[in-house]
Amino acid sequence: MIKKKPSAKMIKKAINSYPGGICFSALDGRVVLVNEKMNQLVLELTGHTILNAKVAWEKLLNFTNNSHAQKLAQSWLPKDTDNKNESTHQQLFFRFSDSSVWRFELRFLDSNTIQIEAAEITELYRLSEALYENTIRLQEMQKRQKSLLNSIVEVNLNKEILAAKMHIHDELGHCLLATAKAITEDSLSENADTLRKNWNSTVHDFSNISTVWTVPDSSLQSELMQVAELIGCKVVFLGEQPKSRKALQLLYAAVREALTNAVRHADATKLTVKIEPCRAHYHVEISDNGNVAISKITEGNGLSALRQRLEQEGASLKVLCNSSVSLIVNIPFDLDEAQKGGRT
Amino acid sequence: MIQVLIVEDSRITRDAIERQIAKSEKYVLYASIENAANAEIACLRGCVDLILMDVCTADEESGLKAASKIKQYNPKTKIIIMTSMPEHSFIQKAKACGCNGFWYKEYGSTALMEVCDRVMNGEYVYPEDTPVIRIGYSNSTEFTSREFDIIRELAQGRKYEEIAADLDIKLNTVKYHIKNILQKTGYQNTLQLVAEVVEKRLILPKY
Repeated sequence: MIKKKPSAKMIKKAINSYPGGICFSALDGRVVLVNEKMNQLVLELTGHTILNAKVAWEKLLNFTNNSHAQKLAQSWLPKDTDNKNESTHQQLFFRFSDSSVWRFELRFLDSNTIQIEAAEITELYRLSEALYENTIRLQEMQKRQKSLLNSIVEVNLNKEILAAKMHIHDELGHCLLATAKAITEDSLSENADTLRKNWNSTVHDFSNISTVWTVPDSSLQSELMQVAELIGCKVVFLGEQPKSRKALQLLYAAVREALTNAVRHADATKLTVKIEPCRAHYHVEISDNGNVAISKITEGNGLSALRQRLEQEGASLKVLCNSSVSLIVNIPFDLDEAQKGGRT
Repeated sequence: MIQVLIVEDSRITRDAIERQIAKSEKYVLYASIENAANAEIACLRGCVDLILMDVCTADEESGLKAASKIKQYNPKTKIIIMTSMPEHSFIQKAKACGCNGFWYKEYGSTALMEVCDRVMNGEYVYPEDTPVIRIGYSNSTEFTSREFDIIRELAQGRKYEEIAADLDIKLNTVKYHIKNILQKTGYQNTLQLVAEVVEKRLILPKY
């Protein structure tokens, strides 16, 4: 059976039945084939049907909004994911007066042919817009979740302190009421022992008589140094310490690890922490006076965990074994800048 | 005398416990600190017999993590975890660390010194269960452990895809669990859920 070659009329009829707009042209813009829908759309946008595809595309690129249509430039518009080379593949979006949204796409099919295709994406656009709004809302929710989480521990601690204060106030109130009652009922002497006992207990609650050493404040350094002295190891800091709390936390994490290892493995009695500011970081060297000579060290859980924590924050750790073990820690001045990758 | 180390960042609570120790004839205070990360150092010379360890301590250091390290090198040192947080996983974590006791500051009727005595007599003293907390229309006991995993991930601000990767489950499974949790609690979205769960201290991911 001989296949009939499609005539120009048949081809024209076929592309006119295509629901979207389509136009094929040569590189200079000379139109080879265009369907009615494309002409109708371009007529509405530019006031002319397509005479030259290149000129028509230029007009679409420089389109100014009018009563017939509006050019859409929002970032959430659906884009072809295959579009890796924008120079050979461009997209434009328009909303017409009947609220329909159309995507115009220009492609270089080969070295001689340009294709401009128009597709109605009203529903896709609506959904994309909703998706974008939802994404923004979710991002906001995520931010709020994170800030809530960051503050919750502090809030809980304050609650705990408040509860303890309320307990003391209750006790005090109870004593006052009982005493007032005894005085008004003239039964002070009969209840003297009970009242004295209650008052003593309440006053004792207020007093802060410690029989042993107690940490005087909450600073990072003082507690660490006092604990070190408690186990017979003096920590000496040389040089200026970092200013930011985050940097200090990293510094003391390193000092703790060094102190633990120095006392546990080398029976050290002194730990020296030298801090020198370099170009963009603090250079920290932690050494001890331990009595064990080591030429090589295998990193255990402690050092590995410390290394991981430091590197996560943009700092670094080096272990030197030169008769004794020293830790070299570099902590950036600006930790937030240095912190890259990883989830917060 | 039994040497006691207190790790507690609330000054008032610390003072209250110190006083109870001071009153006792069996116990003596070795030190009282507020940062759990320093507890391991305090135990290095092996002088501590009993540690009363808070979970959420100064500088966001976890008492549970510190307990785990201490038990590794000082298995004979007894540790009692103390908390006012009804976080559902704390008891499990304390058991996994080998802690000898667990005491809720605000829940339960057992006195701290009674727990100390029993622990020093070789008992493992744990509450039967975490306190039951109302989350929306549900009680905390109605959540499965997988649902708790999902809520914990949400509380850390993870996206659904990240949760799926972290828990090694499919994205649709994450969505299925979240739908179930929201149905149980009656919340409209995960923000409401997380806000309630964190506010009621049922989940504290940092510890």
